[in-house]
Amino acid sequence: MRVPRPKSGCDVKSLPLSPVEGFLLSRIDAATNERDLATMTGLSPAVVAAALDRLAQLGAIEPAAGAAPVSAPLSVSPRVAVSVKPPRAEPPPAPARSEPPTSARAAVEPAPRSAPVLYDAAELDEIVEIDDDKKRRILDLFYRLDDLTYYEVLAVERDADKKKIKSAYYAIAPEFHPDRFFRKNLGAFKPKIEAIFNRVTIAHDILTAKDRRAEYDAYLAQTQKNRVMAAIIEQTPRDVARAPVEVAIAEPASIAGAPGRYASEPAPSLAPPSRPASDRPAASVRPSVEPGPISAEAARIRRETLARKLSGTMRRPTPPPVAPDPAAPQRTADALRVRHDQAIADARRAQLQRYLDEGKAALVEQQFAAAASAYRIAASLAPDDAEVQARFVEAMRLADASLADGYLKQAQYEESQGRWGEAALSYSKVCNGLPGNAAAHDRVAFTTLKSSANIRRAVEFARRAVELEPKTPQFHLTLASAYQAAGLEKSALGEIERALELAPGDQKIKDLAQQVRVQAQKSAN
Amino acid sequence: MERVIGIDLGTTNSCVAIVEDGVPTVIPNRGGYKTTPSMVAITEAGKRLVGHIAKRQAITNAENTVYAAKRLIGRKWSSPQVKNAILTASYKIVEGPHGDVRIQLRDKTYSVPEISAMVLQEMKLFAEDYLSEPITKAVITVPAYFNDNQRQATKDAGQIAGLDVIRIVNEPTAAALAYGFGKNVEKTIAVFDLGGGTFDISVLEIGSGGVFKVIATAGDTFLGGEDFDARIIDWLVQGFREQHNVDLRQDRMALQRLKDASEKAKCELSTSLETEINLPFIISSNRNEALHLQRTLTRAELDTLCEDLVERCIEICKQTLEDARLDRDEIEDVVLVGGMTRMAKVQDSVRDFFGREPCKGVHPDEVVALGAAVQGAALVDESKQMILLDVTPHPLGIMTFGSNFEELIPQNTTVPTSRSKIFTTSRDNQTAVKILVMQGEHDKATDNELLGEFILTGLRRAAKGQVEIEVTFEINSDGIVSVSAKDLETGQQQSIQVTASSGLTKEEVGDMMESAKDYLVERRSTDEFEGIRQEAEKLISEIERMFPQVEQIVASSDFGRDAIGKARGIVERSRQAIVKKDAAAMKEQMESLTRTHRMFKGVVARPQG
Ligand SMILES: Nc1ncnc2c1ncn2[C@@H]1O[C@H](COP(=O)(O)OP(=O)(O)O)[C@@H](O)[C@H]1O
Ligand SMILES: [Mg+2]
Repeated sequence: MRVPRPKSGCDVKSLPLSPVEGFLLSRIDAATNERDLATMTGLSPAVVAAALDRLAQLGAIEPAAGAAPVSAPLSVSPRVAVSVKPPRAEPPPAPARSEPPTSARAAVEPAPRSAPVLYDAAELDEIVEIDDDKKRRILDLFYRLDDLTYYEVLAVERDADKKKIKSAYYAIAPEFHPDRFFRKNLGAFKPKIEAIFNRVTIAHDILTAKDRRAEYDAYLAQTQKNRVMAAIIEQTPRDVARAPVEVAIAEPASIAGAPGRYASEPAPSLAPPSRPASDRPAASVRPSVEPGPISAEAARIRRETLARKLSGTMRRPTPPPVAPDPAAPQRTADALRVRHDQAIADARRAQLQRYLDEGKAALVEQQFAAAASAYRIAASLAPDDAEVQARFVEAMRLADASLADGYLKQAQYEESQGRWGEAALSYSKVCNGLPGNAAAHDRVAFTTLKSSANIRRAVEFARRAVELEPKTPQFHLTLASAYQAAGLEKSALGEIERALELAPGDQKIKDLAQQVRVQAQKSAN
Repeated sequence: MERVIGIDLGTTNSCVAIVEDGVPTVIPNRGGYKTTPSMVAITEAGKRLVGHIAKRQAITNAENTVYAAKRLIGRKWSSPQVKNAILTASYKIVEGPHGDVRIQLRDKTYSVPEISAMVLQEMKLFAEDYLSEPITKAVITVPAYFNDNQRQATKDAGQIAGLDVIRIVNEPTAAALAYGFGKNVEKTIAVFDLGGGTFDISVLEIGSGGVFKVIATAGDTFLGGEDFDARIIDWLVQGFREQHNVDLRQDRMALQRLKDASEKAKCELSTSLETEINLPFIISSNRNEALHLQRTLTRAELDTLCEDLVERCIEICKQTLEDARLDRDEIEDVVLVGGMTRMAKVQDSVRDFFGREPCKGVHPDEVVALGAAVQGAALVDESKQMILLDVTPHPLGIMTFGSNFEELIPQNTTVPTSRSKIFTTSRDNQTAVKILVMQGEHDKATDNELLGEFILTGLRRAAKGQVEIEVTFEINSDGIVSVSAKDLETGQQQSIQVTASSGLTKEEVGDMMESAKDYLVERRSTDEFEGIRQEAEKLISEIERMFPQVEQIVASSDFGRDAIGKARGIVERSRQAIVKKDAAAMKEQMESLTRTHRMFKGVVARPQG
C-alpha cells in the first residue's frame, strides 16, 4: 500500500496537472495511504493509482519515509513509547550508537504525527507491581484505544483472513489478560489493562465473524467517507462573495514566467480531515464530546491553501517570449496587458466550464461533497452569475443532507454495537445537518443516557425532539427517562402521562405509568 | 511456591486433583476411590459423615442425609427451584434469616455453603494426606450457568472449609483445559457435560500459545441424572400402583429404595441391554401382607422414558452454536463430561448432532478436577504460559424506572469486564441512592435474579440532580460481580452497603469458618484417639490371650503374683479410658500396656524348665 508524500522543493504550479491530479495532490500528506486517498476523494482506486503514478513521474510526490499509519498499531514495540516520551524517558539513544538498520529504526523513530504521548508522565510514578516498560505500553495503548480501528488494535492488514486475526489475537490477548497480573497490585493500571483487553477481545470477536466484520467494514468506510465529506464541506465557504478570487487571477509577473509567489514554498501541508480524537488535549482520559473547534484563522488558512493549490492546477496559457524593446517600453507593456487580460478572460471561461462540468458529473455520481466543492469554485469564478450561485447553494444543501445521512448510518451502527458515546456524537452530527429532525434528537438523548455521559445534554435533546414532534409517544418516553436520570421524578411522570394520552391503548406505557406513580408516591413519603 | 488443589464440587460426586511435577493427577480418597459422593450426614450420635460412608447409610438415616446440596446453593427461599426441592428432598429445608435456604439436620440448621464446606473440607483432607503437607489454596469449579449468587456462595463454602479459593472456574472450561493441556493444538471444541443435576455446554477455541477462549456457554441447572432416575421411579411407581393399587410414594423408606434401585438400573443399562429391578418386601399391602417389587427394564424402554430429556440437551446445544455463530461442522472435537454421558442414548444423540465421534481421551469423572488443578498451577506459577478467557453466562443489568431491566453487560462477554453508569439524586439533600443489580435474560426486571440492593450512602448534600455518582459494575475472572462508586465531582470513592442479597454476611462466614475449624480439631483428635485405641485394643487382646499361660508360669513367686495384679490393673484402666473416650488417660496407659505386653511375651517365650 503506497503512502505518498509531497516532494519538498517541487514547484507544483509548473506541472501540467489535471484538476483530478491537483485535487488528489492536495490530499497527500505523508500519512494517508492509497486506499484511504481513494475513499477520501471519492475517486476510484484505479484513477487514484494512475494519478499517483503520474504525480510520482512528474516528481510531485515520493513515497513517505517510515510510512507509519496515523496511529501505530498495538504491536508497535514498546520502545516507541520510550523514545516519544520526552519528559521522563532515559536519555535518547545517542545518534552515534550503532542501531540495527533501517526497518527497526523506522519503528523506533516515529513519524512526527504518529503516537504522540497522550498520557501524563506522572502516571508512571504510581507504585505498582508492573515494570516500567510495561507501564508505558499500557498507558500508550490505553489513551489511543479510541483512535484505533479494530484492525489497528490487532495490528493486522485490512484484508487479513480469519486465521491471521486469530493468531494476532492469541498473541496480544494473553499479554493484557488480568491473569497475567494475578494478585498483583495494579492500582490505576487495572482498569486500563482491562479496557485494553476488552477492546482487543471485541476486535477479535467482530473481525472473526463474517457478517459482523462486513458490517464493521461498511461502517469504517462510512466513517471515513463522512470525515472526508465533513472536511470538504467545512473547507467550502458558504459565502461565495468572500471566496478568494485570487484563485484564478494570477499576477502578471507570474505569467511572465517569474517565480510565483508560492512556488518556492515547501510542499503544502493541507491537513487531512483529522480524526476528532486527535485534537484532544494530551492528558484527557475521554475523548471530548465534540471534535475540537477549528479556529476561524486556521480555517481561513486552510481555505487559502486549498485555493492556492487548486490554482496551481491550472494550465496557464504560455505567454510569448518578451522581446526586449528599449525603444517602446510603453507600447510593449500595453500590448502585453491586453493580451494578458484576454488570456485571463479565456482561461477563466474555460476554467468555469471545467468546474461546472466537474460539479455536474459529481452530482450524477452522487458525490455531493465533490460537487459542492466544484460548484463553489465555479461560483467564485462567476460571482455575478445567479444560476451558478444557485447551483452552488443547491449542491451545498445536497452535501449537507448526504452527510447527515452518512452520520445516521454511522450512528446506527454504533448504537447497534452498544458504543453509546460514539453513537450520541454521530447522532448529534445528524442533528446539525437536519436541525428539524425529531427522531435524530430523540436518538441523541437516548444514546447519551445509555452512555450516561451527560444527563443534562440528554434532557436538552429529548426536549427538542418533543418540541419538534409533540405527538410521538416514544419521544415523551425518552424525555421521561432523561428526567428520571436527572432526578426529576415529577417531570418524568408528567411525560409518561403525556405519552399515555397519545397512546391510551398501550399496555406497556400503562404499566410504566402505574409503576412510576407508585415509586413517586414512595419517594414523596 | 504453595501448591493449589483443583476441586470439582459436583452435585453428585466430587473429585480433587493437583499438578504434580507438571502432570495433573487425581488424588484418591481414603477408600482409594477417585471420586467421593457429595453427601453429608449427621448420625444419631451427632457424628458427621461425608462421602461414601454417608451414602451407604442414607437409607436408614434419610432425614439427616443431605445430597445434591449444589442444587440449593446460592438460591433464595422463594425461588421455584427451592419450592420444588422442598417437595422431593428427604431432608428438611427451612428458611434462613436472609430469605436464604437452610438445612435442618437433627437439632441444628446449616446454611448450604456450610454443607458444601463439609465436602470441601473432606477433599482438602484427602489432599493433605496424599501430599503430606497442609493445603490452603484451591480452585473450585461451578457449572458455567451459575449466576453470581451461586458463585459467591460456592466461594463462601470454600472459605468456611478453610480454603483460599483463588479462582472459580466453569466446569466445561476446566474440562477443556485438561483436554488441551500439554497438547499444542488449535481447535474449536464443544464440551458436553451432563452430570447428576446439571447440564452444561460450552464452545471453546484452543489457540496457539495456550490460550483457551470460551466462545459461548449455556446450560440448564435443572437437567441431569436425577431427572433420568425420576423417570424410572415414575415408571416403577405407576406399574406398582396398577399391579397392587398401592402408592409407593407414600412411604419414604420405599421411595429411598426406589431411588437407589433406579439409579443402579440406569447405570447398568449403560453396559447391558436389560436389567432386573428387584426390591423384596418394599411395602406391606392394605391387608398387611408383604409386597415385592420385581421388574425388568430394557435399554430401549429407558431410552423412550428419557427421550425428551436428551432432546432438551440437544436443543441447548443448538442454541449455543447459534450464539457462537458456528456451524456444527466447525466443531472439531466434542468432549464428554459427567457420569450421565456414559448412557448410550446420550452418546448417540451427541454423535448424531455434531456429526462426529466424541473424544475418547478424557475421563468423564476426573477431567473437571484435573482442569481446575491445571488452572490453579497456571495462576500461581508465572512460567506457565496458559491463559483462560472465559465469558459471563448471563446478562448483567440494573432495574431502571418502571421496573425495567437495563442490560449493562451482555451475555457471553469475555471476563473480566466492567461498565460504568452515572446515577444522580432525585430529591434535594438526598444522601443515599439505591441500585438494584440483577442478572438474567428477561426484560422485566423482577423476572431476573436479584444479586443485591446496593445502597450508595453518605452522598454530598446538594440540590436534586446535582450529585452525580459514577457506579462501576465489574465481573471478575471468577464471574463474580462487584460494584464500586465514586462521586464525579469530588472524585471521592462512595461507600456501598449491600442488603437483600441472599448470601451470607462476612460475620456469618467467619463464624461458620470457626466452627468448621473446631470440627477439624475435633476430627483430628478423634483420628488420633482412634489410632491409639486400635493399638491399645490389639495389645489388650494379646495380653489377655497370654494371661493364663503367664499366670501359670509366674504364680509361684510373690513377685510374679504382684506383677499379674499390676497387669490386671493396667488392662482395666485402659479399658475404662477407651469406654470414656479419654484420650489423655489413654495415652498415659499406652506405655504401661506396651511394657506389660513386652514382659508377657518374654515370659511366654522363655524355655520352660
Ligand atoms: N455408568 C453410568 N451410566 C449412566 N449414568 C451414570 C453412570 N455412572 C454415573 N451415572 C450418573 O451420572 C450422574 C453423576 O454424574 P457426575 O458427573 O458425577 O455428576 P455431578 O457432576 O453432577 O456431580 C448420576 O446421575 C449418575 O447416576
Ligand atoms: Mg460434574
